[in-house]
Amino acid sequence: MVGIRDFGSLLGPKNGSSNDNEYLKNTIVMARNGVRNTSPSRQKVIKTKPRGFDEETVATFSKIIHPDVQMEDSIWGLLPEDLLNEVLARVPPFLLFRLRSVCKRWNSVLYDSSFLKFHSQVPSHGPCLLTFWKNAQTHQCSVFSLPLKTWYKIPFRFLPDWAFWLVGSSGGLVCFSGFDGLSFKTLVCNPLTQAWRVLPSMHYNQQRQLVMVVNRTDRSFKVIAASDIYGDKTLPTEVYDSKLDRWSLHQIMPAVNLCSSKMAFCDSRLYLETLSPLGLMMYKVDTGQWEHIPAKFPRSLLDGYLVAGAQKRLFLVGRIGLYSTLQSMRIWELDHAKTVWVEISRMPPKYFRALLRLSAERFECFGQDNLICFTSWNQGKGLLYDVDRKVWSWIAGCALQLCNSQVCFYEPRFDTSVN
Amino acid sequence: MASEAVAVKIQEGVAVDAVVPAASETSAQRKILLKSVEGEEFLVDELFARGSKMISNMIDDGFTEGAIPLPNVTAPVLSKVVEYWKHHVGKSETDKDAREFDRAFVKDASSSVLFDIIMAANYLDCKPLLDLACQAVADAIRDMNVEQVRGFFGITNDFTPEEEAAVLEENREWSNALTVTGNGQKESNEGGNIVLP
Repeated sequence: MVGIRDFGSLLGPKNGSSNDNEYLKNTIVMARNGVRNTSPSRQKVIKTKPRGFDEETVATFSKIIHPDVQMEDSIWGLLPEDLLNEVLARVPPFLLFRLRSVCKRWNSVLYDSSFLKFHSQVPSHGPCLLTFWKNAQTHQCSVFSLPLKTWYKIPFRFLPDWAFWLVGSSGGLVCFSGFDGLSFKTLVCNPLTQAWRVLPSMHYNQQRQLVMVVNRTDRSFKVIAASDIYGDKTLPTEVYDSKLDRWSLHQIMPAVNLCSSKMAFCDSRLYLETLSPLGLMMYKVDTGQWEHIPAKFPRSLLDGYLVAGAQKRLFLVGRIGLYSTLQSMRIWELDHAKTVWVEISRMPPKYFRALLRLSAERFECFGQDNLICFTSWNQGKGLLYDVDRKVWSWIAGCALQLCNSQVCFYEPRFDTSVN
Repeated sequence: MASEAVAVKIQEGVAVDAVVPAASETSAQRKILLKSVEGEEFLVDELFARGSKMISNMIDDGFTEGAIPLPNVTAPVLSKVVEYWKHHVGKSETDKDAREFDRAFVKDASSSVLFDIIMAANYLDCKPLLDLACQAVADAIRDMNVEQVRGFFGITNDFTPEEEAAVLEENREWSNALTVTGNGQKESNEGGNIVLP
């Protein structure tokens, strides 16, 4: 029985340059029951005659094929549609776009409900970083796929001019905010499907700290507007629920001296860091109530980023030590039961020195699924800490795009709707 | 029934008598007889056979007499599926041996065998095996250019030249991947590797 021993040979040269002669020679296919058709005179028409190939090249194909073996229809053409969708659901999302030019049916596969069902069931593609850069004239959005170590430019032409701040991303949706004239507005979009929607206005037209959270089980999302940028302490917390398509008013955050912009959403609770004194406030979405968490913050903490992890874990990231030579970057985890911050890791000095050449250098810190990312504002470097595996690593191939950009983790999904 | 000469495929390591009852009710480890489309019979531990939801349901529905016929599965493929069950059923998801087995399983599979395994895993309702096989094909096609994919699936290009140009134009925005090489130089990997006339 003639078969293909090495499946890999189907691909031909790895660099993707079309070497179709090589490829077709290796594609020796058999009929479904494994029996060769040995009738010598039958010259089967190759169904996939490539477009634009002239007759001479086609004739060359037939010469290369071993005379004993006939070119049968590819068995993979017999794959039922739902199984084809299972296969396509496992191709990385960014690479699927390329395959849309295969034929008309594949062009619409991204909207096919069977494909979307399988796509929603396969494990996530892996962590990606979304960067948003904007100036007065233009904006640019790029996504770096950590598994593929490649940048992809996402067409964001639909983004209105007023969209200025990248609020964040959750479950495949990305949220922006900005001032459209005098109105503070929010916009939600799915970059992969290019669907987008401006959310209805909040009750109070003021610039707020926002957080967006997707709930994939009930196919909805919420946007929480917590503190006012300028410290207006009379504003009630507002929550947008996509199921109701409106904002609702909730408890005013209890008086605190000053709010930082550091927030993290974890286990249906919004954690917010307050300054002066340094403290932790928690907002429970189900009850709409604020609560003070009396966890003592580390002394002489600088920066103090709140990062949500997987499975209800909450991290605090910041520098300790005022003097540059003695500074260290540390990570704490909140022990919910004991209401205490427990140090779980310190950034090794070599990474710290490389990330922040000067002690006052600006950096961003954010996280998702127990991955904490540090980006250096000026250097365009990305450092990753895997909390579960306790591993520090530079994000390879990430340079430059990070400079002067707003960054967040992003999970590419076709199946999350903006409605 | 028990005295009939039955062509039994003896699984390695399973000691059986020459004439074997179809499904042993009394022994601690029950065995199930599976029959491929050619009539070849496989004696498999019930534990492993339950790797297939379809077979598992049949056992629960009281199918204990004789062999379970699997008219959609050939003997070589059934043999591979049983191998898969033996390495996976009852093991944790992160089991190293299982992972090693998967790697070799996919690497050594010929194209037609992989196809048959996908069809069999779907028919037998064995999700993990279907995942593994579909992922293997997905990994293969993601590196192919559009012409290679068409050839692989036997698909005819049914776009008009204008339609195709429009789709390619859309793709260009998405496919405009910038990769950074080792020395930090950026290079643009443009387009979808389409072979144009």
